Amino acid sequence: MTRFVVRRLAQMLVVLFAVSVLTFLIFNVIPNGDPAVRMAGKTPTESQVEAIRADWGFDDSLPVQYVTTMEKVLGGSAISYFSQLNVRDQIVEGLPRTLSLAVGAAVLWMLAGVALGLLAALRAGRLSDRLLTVLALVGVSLPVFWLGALASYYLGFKAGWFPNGGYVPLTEDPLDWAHHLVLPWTVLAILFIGFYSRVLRSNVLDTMSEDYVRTARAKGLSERQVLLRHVLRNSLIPIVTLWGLDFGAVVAGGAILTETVFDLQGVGQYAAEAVGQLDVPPVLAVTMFGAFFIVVLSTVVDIVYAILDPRIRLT
Amino acid sequence: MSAPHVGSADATAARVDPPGAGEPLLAVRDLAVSFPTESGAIRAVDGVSLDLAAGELLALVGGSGCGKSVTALTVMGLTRPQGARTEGSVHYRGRELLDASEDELRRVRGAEIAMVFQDPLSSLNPVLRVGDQIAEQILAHEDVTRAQARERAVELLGRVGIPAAARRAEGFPYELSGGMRQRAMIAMALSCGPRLLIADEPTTALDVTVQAQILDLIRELRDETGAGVLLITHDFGVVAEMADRVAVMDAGRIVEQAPVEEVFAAPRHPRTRALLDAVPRLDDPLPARRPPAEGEPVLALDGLEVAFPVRRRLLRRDSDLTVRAVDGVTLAVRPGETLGLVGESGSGKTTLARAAVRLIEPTGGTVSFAGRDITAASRRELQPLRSELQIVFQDPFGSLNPRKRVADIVGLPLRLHGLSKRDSAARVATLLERVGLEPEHADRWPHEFSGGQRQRIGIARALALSPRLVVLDEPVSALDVSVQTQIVDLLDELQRELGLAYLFVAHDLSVVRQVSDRVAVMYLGKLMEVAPVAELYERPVHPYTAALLAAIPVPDPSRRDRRVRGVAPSGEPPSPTDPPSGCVFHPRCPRATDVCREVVPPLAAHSDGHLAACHHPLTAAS
Repeated sequence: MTRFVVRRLAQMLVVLFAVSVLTFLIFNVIPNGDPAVRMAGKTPTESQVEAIRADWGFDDSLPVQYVTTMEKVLGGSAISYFSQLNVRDQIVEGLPRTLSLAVGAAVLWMLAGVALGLLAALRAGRLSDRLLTVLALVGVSLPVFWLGALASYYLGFKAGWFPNGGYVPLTEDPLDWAHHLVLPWTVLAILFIGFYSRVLRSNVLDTMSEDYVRTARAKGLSERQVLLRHVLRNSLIPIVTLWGLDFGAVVAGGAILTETVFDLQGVGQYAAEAVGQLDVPPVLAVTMFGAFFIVVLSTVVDIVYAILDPRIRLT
Repeated sequence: MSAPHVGSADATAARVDPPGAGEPLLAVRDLAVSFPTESGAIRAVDGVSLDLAAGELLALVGGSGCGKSVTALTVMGLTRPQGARTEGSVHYRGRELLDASEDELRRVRGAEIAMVFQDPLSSLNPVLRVGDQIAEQILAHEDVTRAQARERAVELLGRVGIPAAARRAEGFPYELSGGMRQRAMIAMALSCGPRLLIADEPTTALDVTVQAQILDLIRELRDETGAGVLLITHDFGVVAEMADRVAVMDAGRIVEQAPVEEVFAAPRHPRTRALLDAVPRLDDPLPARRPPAEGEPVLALDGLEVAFPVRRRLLRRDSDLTVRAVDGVTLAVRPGETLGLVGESGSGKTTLARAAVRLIEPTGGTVSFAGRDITAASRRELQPLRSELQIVFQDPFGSLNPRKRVADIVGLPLRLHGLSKRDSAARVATLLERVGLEPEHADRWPHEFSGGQRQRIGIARALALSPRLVVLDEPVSALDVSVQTQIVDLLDELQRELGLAYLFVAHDLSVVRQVSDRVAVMYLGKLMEVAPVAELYERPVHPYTAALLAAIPVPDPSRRDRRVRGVAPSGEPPSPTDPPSGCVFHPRCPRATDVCREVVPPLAAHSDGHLAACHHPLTAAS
């Protein structure tokens, strides 16, 4: 097991390096024209461009440029030439907001997805199963910007049950934090609930016809024990993988729409705004951050998977 | 209806109850089971009645789909989740189980009636530890702590003959061999001291040497605990070896029920007779075969080696492990003859078959076809030879593309070799007739056929290009005995008419004896013995061959005790990743000495055409 973890972590480092090189190439090397001009914004002066060129070392060889870029992005000295704000500070400020959104939504969609999926599987073929199927389809089809805007307007603005967007740090007031996040969590989770409940339903139905479930019944276990220890446990293993990857994707930019609709000022929204302004340093930094996050999370998922299913070959 | 409570008495203690007021342990009366489907109800069991006394071993025998498993599952209420409708009655020690509540049934399952299933790998939960899976059952029925239950699990594993039981209890099912897994399943079934053990084809998924051990274990446990055993099987060899009484099932009904000697001596029902006649027996007269063909071998393997890499380690490249699935095998198939190739699972027989037709690349040695070395032939060079060298696979369900019509499956090789659409259609029709199907079947899909019919399709495909050699990789092992006979007869007929040579790979020595001119025995990638069929079965020279033959259950209850006990090897084949030194069979061999541990025995001639690789051959002199 230790060997497997070490090996997987070593692989992760290789992938991270590859990701950083690719990102560097995509932003600084592949596009035509002068990278310093692209970075400087819409109406730069000659001296600004020269300063950027000197700062980022665009006249150096590519390997040196790569090292300089990584130093600036990872070391936290990159600044946006639009706002003159430090990019890392901005990401660090947005991160708790994005994580609050993602963690809450992920817990919600996992719990609700599993509960509804299990219910549908146990009622397979009956009316309640069909109803859940339709609901899941509706949930998957609702666009976040539409559902978010509607929820925000009716439940927030009109009914006044929830604050109209914005974010309160958890450390300041946990209740208010949650109160601000209930709508974003729900809106973001609904898509995933629909999806997860379908996947779990079919996993549970597959598992129920496994021989070892028949064995579990033949042992005289109660239906509840059969369901929890043998059916659900085995059905959840693939879901856990999916969950880790989806969570990574949401943190790494998958929640841009939700963040924007509810004005959470998270990392995703920061990236979206930077893209709108063609502000290269933040986009570069957020891309790297997102890619790193996903790579790290998929490593964690692999390790967790190997713990959950001992048959995974630990090589 | 008073349910006698089974307390937490020591489950490992012997228990021989006097049968309550002469009543049998289990009495099934007019049991009918049907399953609702979209196209109406399917009646799987149609009026079954049987009795089983404590300490008795009743074999329920029949072909696949006859309803024997459904009967057994229904006794335990395990067909309920599939929505089974039941009629009749199932009396267990004075209680009616058929309409018992789920809660009542739950207290009977595992505690009083326990079940062992066919495939021990799929019947154990892959992600739970073996010991925990046994402890779970004890905890469900008895008032013990988790630690006590685990301790009992380890004890039980030891009792069913699992070495290092404490360590095995901590392991997962995939870490055990097939035989060990089935032992673990039996340990689980015994855990609460059941009065009735239902074993559903408990040895069908196992090798013959392991089967002998598991059957011995079941019999021992029956004698020790006095439990009644309902043994479900399709194998009359197992029946003869094990049963006190036999019930023969066909199409949902019991057609004959009698003491075992009577069934074998004077079967009354035609179905019983048919089933018995279909069983290949080692003491059947050998079918008359033509004298061995002379001439250049069609297929010649010389020192063939196939090694697979198993794992690469990050920092220790030098310790790469390989499995030598086939390790230096020299064999030849002559024109028009059948060479049988037998071995237990992991012996490398299938790998050898596939390497012989270059579906797997050999890593050493040579393969020659009709005198031509094809070991290194390119795809283009092989293409014309493919028409003369065909293969039929084991699994008739998995080896036919479900999305192609029969005409396309059988016709593809023809089209590939340049026949026009019309010519190929005509040839397909002839081929289908040749293998006993109808020309109209060409338009159907594989799923519309039974297992035997599918295997006929596979044979038709192999014959399409008029090959000289057909490699048959376990062609009948997925089929019912009576269907096996039909396919074997068909192969025989085709061989006579078309002058085909066969390499017939199988694990079933009785089937191989029926079809082969010569037989080769493999073990852990090595060739142990090759001989003409009569020689090999009557005068085996290698102790491994002798052990294999001794392990086969003889379908004759009167010879039950004459089977030489102790000749069947103990233990199981070692892992092919780490084969024993010297002679690979030495750890299980009764004749092994120091030289066997150190020196690999060469394949030596013992009489004309009889080769064996052994330091201590079983010759007439010894």
